[in-house]
Amino acid sequence: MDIINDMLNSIQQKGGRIKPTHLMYKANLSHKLLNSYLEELITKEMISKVDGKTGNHYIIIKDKGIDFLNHFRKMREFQDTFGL
Amino acid sequence: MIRIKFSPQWFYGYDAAIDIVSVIVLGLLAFYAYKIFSFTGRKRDKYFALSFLSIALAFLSKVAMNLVIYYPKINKVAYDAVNLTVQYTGQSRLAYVVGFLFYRFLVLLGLYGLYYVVTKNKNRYDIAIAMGLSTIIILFSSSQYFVFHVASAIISAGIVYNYLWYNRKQESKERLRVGWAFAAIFFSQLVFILTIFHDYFYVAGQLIQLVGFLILAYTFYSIVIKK
Repeated sequence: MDIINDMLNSIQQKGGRIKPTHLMYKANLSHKLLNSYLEELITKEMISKVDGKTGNHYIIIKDKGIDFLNHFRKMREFQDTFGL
Repeated sequence: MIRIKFSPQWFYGYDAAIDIVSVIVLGLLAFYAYKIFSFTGRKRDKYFALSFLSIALAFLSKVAMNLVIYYPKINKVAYDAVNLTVQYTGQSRLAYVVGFLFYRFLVLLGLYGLYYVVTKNKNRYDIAIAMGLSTIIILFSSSQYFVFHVASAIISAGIVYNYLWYNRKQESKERLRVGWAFAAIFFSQLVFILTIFHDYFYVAGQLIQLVGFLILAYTFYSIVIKK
């Protein structure tokens, strides 16, 4: 869950759109692991892949991904507040 | 003669209303903590949820017992069994013991659970032993009411200390607020002990306890709902 949160956060911090290689470095994941998580997130409709104007691929965060980030943040804050 | 009612007559029903508010707050905290557990799978989150649930159920049983004692029209049969005007009969003793012992056991269980979770105690047996000893002492004590509130105050003090101690390193407004909420609950237990002198202390204890739970409710609101 922390990895997914880091990935979605990285995308959001880049204005909601990021290149896969940038995401790989920001989330500190191997290529294989990144692809595995990306597949999972695409299946859950939290992100999607789009093609850029220059032919590059981008990952964009979707509404479900933003909801996940909000819920995860609240959950973490609750845990920190109550010392869990 | 057993003293069953600690509340002044004009406060009848109001303490039940206060306890219902407490049940709602505790229920919300238990529900959200359990939701987190279903997400994280961490046992600590589950124990935290179960602790709040235990205290919520305790207050619910206290509300039920109080309504039976205060309002005989609600259940005349139960009222006859409690037999307030009275004499020390086996039936009234049983009703009193079962009802309020259940309440006290669940409150202590919940408080010990919270203490275990927030202090990140790795040894569950320490807590189980303390819990067992407390239950035996309360059960066989001639002053169950007061011994129970002393025990609750001691555990609450441990919880308060933990929140305020850890907050000094990582300053957090919300955590400080939780510390103060449990401080109010700790203080209310001390005030309940003073009921021996006057029933008005019971009213004061209930109100202070309510303040504690309202602070917890506001903390929950500011973290989960507001943002």
